[in-house]
Amino acid sequence: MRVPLNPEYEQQLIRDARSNPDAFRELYRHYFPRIYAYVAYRVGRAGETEDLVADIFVKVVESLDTFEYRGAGSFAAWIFRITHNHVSQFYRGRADLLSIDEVSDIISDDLSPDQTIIRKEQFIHLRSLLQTLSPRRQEIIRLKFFGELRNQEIAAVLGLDERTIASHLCRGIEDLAQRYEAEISRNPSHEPE
Amino acid sequence: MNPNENHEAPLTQQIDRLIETHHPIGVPVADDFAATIPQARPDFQQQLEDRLTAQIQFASQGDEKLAVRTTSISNASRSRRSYIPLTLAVAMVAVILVGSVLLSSGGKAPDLNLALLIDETVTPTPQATPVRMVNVVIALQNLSRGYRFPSTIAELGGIVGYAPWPESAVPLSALVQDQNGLEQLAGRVLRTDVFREQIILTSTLAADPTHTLVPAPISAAGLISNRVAIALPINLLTGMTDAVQVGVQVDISALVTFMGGKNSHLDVMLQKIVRNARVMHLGDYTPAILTATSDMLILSVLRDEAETLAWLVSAEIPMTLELSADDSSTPIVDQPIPEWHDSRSMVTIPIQQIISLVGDGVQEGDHVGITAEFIFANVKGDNTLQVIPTNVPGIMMSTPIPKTLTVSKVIVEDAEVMSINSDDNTVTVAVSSQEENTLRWLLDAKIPLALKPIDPNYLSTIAPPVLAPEVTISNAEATANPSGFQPGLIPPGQRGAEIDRDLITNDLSSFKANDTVDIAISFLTINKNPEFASDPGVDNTTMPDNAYVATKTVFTNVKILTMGGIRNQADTHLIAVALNPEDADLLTWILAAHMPIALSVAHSDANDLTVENLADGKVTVEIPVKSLTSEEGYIQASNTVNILARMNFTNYDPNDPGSLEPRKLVSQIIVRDAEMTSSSGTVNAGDVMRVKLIIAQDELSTLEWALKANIPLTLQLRPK
Repeated sequence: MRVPLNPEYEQQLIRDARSNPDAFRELYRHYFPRIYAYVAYRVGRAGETEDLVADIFVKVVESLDTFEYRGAGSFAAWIFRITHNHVSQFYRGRADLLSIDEVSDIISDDLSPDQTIIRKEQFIHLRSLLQTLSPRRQEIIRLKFFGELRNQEIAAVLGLDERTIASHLCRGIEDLAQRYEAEISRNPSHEPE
Repeated sequence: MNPNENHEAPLTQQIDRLIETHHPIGVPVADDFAATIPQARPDFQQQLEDRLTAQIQFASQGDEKLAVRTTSISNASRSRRSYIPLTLAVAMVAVILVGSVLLSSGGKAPDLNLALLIDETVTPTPQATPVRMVNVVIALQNLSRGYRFPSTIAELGGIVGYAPWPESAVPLSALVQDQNGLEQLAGRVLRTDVFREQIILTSTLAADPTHTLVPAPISAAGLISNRVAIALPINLLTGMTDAVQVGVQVDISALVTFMGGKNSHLDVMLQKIVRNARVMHLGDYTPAILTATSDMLILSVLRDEAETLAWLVSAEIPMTLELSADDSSTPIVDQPIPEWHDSRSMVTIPIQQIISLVGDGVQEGDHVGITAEFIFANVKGDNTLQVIPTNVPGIMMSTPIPKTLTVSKVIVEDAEVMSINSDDNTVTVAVSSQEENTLRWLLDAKIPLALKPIDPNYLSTIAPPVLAPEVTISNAEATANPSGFQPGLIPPGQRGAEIDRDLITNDLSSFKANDTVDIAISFLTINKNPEFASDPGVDNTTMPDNAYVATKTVFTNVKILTMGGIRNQADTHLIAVALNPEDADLLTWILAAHMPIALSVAHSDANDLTVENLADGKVTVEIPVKSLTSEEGYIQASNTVNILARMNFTNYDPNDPGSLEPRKLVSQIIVRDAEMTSSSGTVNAGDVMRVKLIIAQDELSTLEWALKANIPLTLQLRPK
């Protein structure tokens, strides 16, 4: 997980980012990987992900003036709300199959090319497995694992209660775990390296 | 206490730890999620960063965001597009270089080896292009047909500018810097659309406006059936008034505000009132036709457009005139009303944009009328927007917006509901192609729409409301009322209606018979992600967390007949009101749909406060004040205060009429930083006193409304 920005420092950055490219750059570098990972898990293909991520950040820049800081986590919730709404608006999930060439790279420190391919296959498989859940649970898991948001922030993004988020998250993971383990026992090739 | 909490907490903590440390937690699927986090191409991340920071840099320097927005691109195809000018320039340089090689070789094709030799021996130092460039006027943004350029050079900045262009490629009619191209553009009008970075040609400009006023006699024969002529004072029109001619088609817009968003903030946008109106006459009327002597513009417009225009003229609301985008020399041909189902278009409306909830009432196959609610903002002569009083969000009271500024317009008289899709929360209706255009514009503008069933049989499926018979004084007096009806109770020409008090969500103690009230309805708006609509995990019996209730005044100046029933005035479960017959029909539907309503003091019946106008948009006003906010304090003439109105807020789920929650008292600042000019003494909480304040003119209307509505006001001392 990225080291969270100190709330006071983040507030200062947000204030300055409206006119200071350096301040914005720091915010961007902090949030870009999370936004990208979230969108990539949502849409699958790297090309579509880049399109959406670019649009999202343009929207963020254009809307910075309207953001009101309301304490720690409010900016993360705001930026992911923009992301969530934008992706929901412009992307409708398709049931077509992804190929390894189409998906984004996977974060790794030192994987061999073979391992990288296996990770991408795993990504495709996990993504399709995730889509067997209800849309709300899918979204909560994506915001949690790839947006790296706290439950409170996810609650703010989706307009739900924090306890509801925790409940959906746990039940979603439990459901997936059962299906995943059953699949691994049937097909060990899905087992991680 | 959530029974699952004990079970969920450890897993939640484990997941948080996994995300924080990336150390596996023994839940394979979670561990694998954490091991398959996608990452972007570094060059994409860097390019986007550069573009965004450039955008901020431009914005901070006052540049148009538009210019950068077009560069916010990511994928390869878009990148290719953005490099088109660069590619062209490179290609041009390449052509010139090849040409120079050809010339130097006496017109013979260059020897391949020589070319290779040149390639190998060329110095890497960039060479200046030998192309001679000329500065021409180009558009810096997309400009529509009919756009009038500002009359000063300073104002042209950001709209048009000079750009270097290869001299050989400059069109003959281009405006060039050597001939003061920008000066030639000032005040001129575009005849065609011009896109960003396109060269502006003199041929794209309309003729000098001083030659375009062509007075002509108005001819009744020029009026097509189904259209009416309407005269507009030219002094109310801005824009293209001196660039139109008799026979051209014009659009007319007015500045419109509409409420939207969670806090019901007011947005402003230019709303087209009339499209493709044909100019029939320009200049003075002859007295034989009308007595008006001022400059007038006579337009042929549709009948309902004429009604709106007449209203705007009577309210002296300035309008903007522009040439119609789809102008044609051929006259407008009356469109026959299409047969039902013949050439109807399907339009899908998100339920969240419908202020009258349809889910419980309207069904597939029903025929509905669609109405849009607009709020028109007045604009003073100096082009400043008249400030509309602060809207108080979330309360079950009428919005204190001047009555004369609201317009409800029927957009579709008869639309068939083709489908109600609960999966994506939409309603699809069949409308005519003309109605479709308007409807799509309204959908884009997020303007609230109301769907009103027009099938009289429709209401039979809903519990009928208690309604008084349509009675006027004449027949009331002529007919003895066996059930205790009081003759003359209902004013002539109006209908009485009994409202069940259970449907009224605000406090009625301050109302009495003969009061004039506004009636507001509350409606649910849902920020709902359509993807969640089919989520089996969602409990649909409760109000979604991301829903909120908005309030809209639907009837104004309604007279309370009795604080009981019409037949039985002692019936404390009812309130009887009088409305005009059309409003009574709508109230019938609202009551039948069990929509909660709120009564509020009619805005037009506001207090007559003694107000002194001061300079700088300030006024002095004397008001009673209920108490200090918290502790007792000493109020003196030199205090600066805020005024808070304390109001009830009631939460409500239209899906569950029994779900009225306990009211929540909220305080809303309605006047900020008022200066106190008189009154002093110790004030105890609960005391009533009068103070004289200097407040902003803009806040006066809200204050008057709050006083008339008997809303307790509180002074909040401001630190000096």
